Amino acid sequence: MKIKSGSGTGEKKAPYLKRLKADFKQNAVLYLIVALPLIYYILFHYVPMYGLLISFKNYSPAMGVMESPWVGLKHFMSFFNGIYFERILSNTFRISFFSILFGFPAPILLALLINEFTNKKFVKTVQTITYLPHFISLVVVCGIISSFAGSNGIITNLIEKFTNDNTSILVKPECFTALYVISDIWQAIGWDSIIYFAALTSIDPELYEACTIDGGGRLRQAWNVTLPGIMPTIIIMLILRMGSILSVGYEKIILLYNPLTYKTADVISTYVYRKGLLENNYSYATAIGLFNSVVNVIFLVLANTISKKVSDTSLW
Amino acid sequence: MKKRIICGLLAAATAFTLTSCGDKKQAVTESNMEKGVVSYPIETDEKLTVWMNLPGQVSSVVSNYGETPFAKNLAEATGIEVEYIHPAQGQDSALNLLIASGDMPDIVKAYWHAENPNTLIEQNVIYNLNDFIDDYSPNYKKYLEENPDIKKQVTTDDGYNYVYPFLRAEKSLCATAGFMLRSDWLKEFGLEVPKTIADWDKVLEAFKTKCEAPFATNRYDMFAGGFGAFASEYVDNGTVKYGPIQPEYKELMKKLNEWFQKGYIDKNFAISDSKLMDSNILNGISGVTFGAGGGKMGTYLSAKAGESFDLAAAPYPSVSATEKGKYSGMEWQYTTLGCAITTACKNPQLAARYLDYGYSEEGMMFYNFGKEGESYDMVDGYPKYKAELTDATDGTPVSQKLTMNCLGSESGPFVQDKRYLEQYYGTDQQRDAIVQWSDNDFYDYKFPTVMLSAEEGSEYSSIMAEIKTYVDETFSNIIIGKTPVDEFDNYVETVKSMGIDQAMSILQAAYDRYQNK
Repeated sequence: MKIKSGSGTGEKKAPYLKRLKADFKQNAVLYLIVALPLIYYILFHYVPMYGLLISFKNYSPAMGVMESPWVGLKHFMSFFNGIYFERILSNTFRISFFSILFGFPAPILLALLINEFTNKKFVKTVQTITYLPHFISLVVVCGIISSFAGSNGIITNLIEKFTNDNTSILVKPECFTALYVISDIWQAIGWDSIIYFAALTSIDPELYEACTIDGGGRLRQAWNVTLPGIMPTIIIMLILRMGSILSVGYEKIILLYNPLTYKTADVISTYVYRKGLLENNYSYATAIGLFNSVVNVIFLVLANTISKKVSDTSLW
Repeated sequence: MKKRIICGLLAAATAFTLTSCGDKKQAVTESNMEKGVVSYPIETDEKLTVWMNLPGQVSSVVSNYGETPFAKNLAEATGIEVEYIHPAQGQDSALNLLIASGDMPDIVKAYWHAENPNTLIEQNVIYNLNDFIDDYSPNYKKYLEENPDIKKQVTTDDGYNYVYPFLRAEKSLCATAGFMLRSDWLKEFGLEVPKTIADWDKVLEAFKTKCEAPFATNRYDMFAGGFGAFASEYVDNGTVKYGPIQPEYKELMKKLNEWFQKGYIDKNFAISDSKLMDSNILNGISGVTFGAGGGKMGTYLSAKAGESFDLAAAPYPSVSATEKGKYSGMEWQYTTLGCAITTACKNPQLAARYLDYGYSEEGMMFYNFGKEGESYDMVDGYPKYKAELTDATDGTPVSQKLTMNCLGSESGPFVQDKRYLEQYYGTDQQRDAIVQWSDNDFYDYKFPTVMLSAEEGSEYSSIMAEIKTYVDETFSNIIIGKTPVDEFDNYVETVKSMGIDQAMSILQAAYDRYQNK
């Protein structure tokens, strides 16, 4: 089935359409099934995007999206020129960076560790215990942190024992990133490791046997068999994680920060919350949100490209 | 045929997304209602819809305010059936969403400070009420004529009336929170309730011998009056100024830093929440706190009833014992909470009649105290709530019982009566508190509730959001000594570079418009 060379686009298209038509006739029901999610995506994921328009407008609820006056890049400029721009951007990157640095390998390590155990019952118990915190509401988690690290909390009392200073770590700006990352690991480690467990089960047991025959110990097995075996999963997860580099969860920060820790804790999303939503500045909030998404997409694409070059694993 | 189904689906989807706005403009129908004074109940078959927050006090008992005895009695008294519509609880932007949705009820009860009613009237979202008030709201009209200062507060720059407001009859009703301290400790040391900062120094020094950290509060900005300072924008001889960058504010920060170093202020004050403060004051870990007369003082006193624990309210600090304080936490009598009539209302004349009821003599009693014989009795000319309403021993909070039967402790289109608070507050200490907390000259300086245009509003809020963060942060850091007080000049410079002058000139323009109304 060769297409005539040198033919115009019209002729080139015709056989495709024809094929499509034939295919459609044959699989009409399948098309119909696909149509439903397609409509869903168009309606609820693409149509709402027209709301992005308000980031270039002075949105007023009474006038609506279309009627509000255009202002160009005003909101973007006022964000970039704002006195807090550098601070919130660097805070966001710092918290995100440490979250990835420590939070990303943690579930992999957990998965590898648990993989070494042979007692099924024990493995199940550890798994359950570690992923349960995932189901605790963030508000409750922050409540737990506040009461543990607050004025009369157990952590504050412990620190007081050693340093004779009962200042809570919640008011120390230098402790905030650690607090954020550690509590994040505590909550997410078990849940995030589930996907790696799934990947581990797909490794061929013969590879382990081969490794043993070659004289490899358990560590060698983990390094040369297990890790390469789940590497594609790890890379895909990392790429996905890079796609949300600027989306540091604001709920947790809003619940934990205070004027004394703004210096290290104020991130883009909390700033948007304060300046955009509390002050009803929807256009401004949308502008920052758009900026956020653009940066996230850039990082996602960047990570994907690098990984494609280096390891042949990629999202697309 | 299957193709047609898909086409149909897509067409339906497209139609669904293109919600038509329709023509909002609606001519005011000539009403056959008679003008001037009429007596209630009014005879009508028409219903009204009222959009308002479901009062939190009753949300555990009813899901719609229409189910409360008060709403039923009100319908009977006015003769007008009302359907209540409530937004989802805890939505700050509910009013905004309502306006954006375009699906308006007849009457909207909300805080209007974030919107510009002048614009809403021009955009034909709500009615200009001037004519309706003249013709169909004789009671409210009379009230406005008798209270010109209120009239100034409730109208827009162009002189439009846009709401039937919730008003507080007296200054003392506007002072619902303030400082309170352990009066039994004061007695022990032979000290008086402090008025000036020097008095506070003595009291705190004495209290420090009694407890860990005398303060269980984080409202230290409320001491501003003791230095002649202001913690917000204020009006000084017709000029609008921003308090936290005036030289007096430096003195406040300096003193707070001194108090912090002496251990009067809890090291972790920045994270002390309301629960911790409660437990500190109740367990004698602290001796001074800041809070509401009902929710805090009343709770503490009843929790410690029968013990030596006692509280007294302290007035907002002043510079000298002979002067009154210039700064306080008092609110205006009109807090922009009120009921507007939307252009979706088919019979605005009837709505005007309905909303006017709360300003008649009969209606004021009704809104404040409920139905006579049912929720209150007249005893020697004093409306006394039934004993079962003000008694919380059965475990049901008083605020809940009252809000089921009247709106005196809540809000609505009427003038709040002081006699509700006298009964709502169960103790003499609380009744004294509102006297102490309202004993200041803040109204001479307080920035009035002005209207900002949409551009002014967004510029102002965008400048102030950053400044407030910076001011809060510096304030806390100076208190704990992380930033030295000498940095004050740099701090002022930074605030200026962030555009405070521009923000104040916006307020100044609005203030001038307000004054020229």
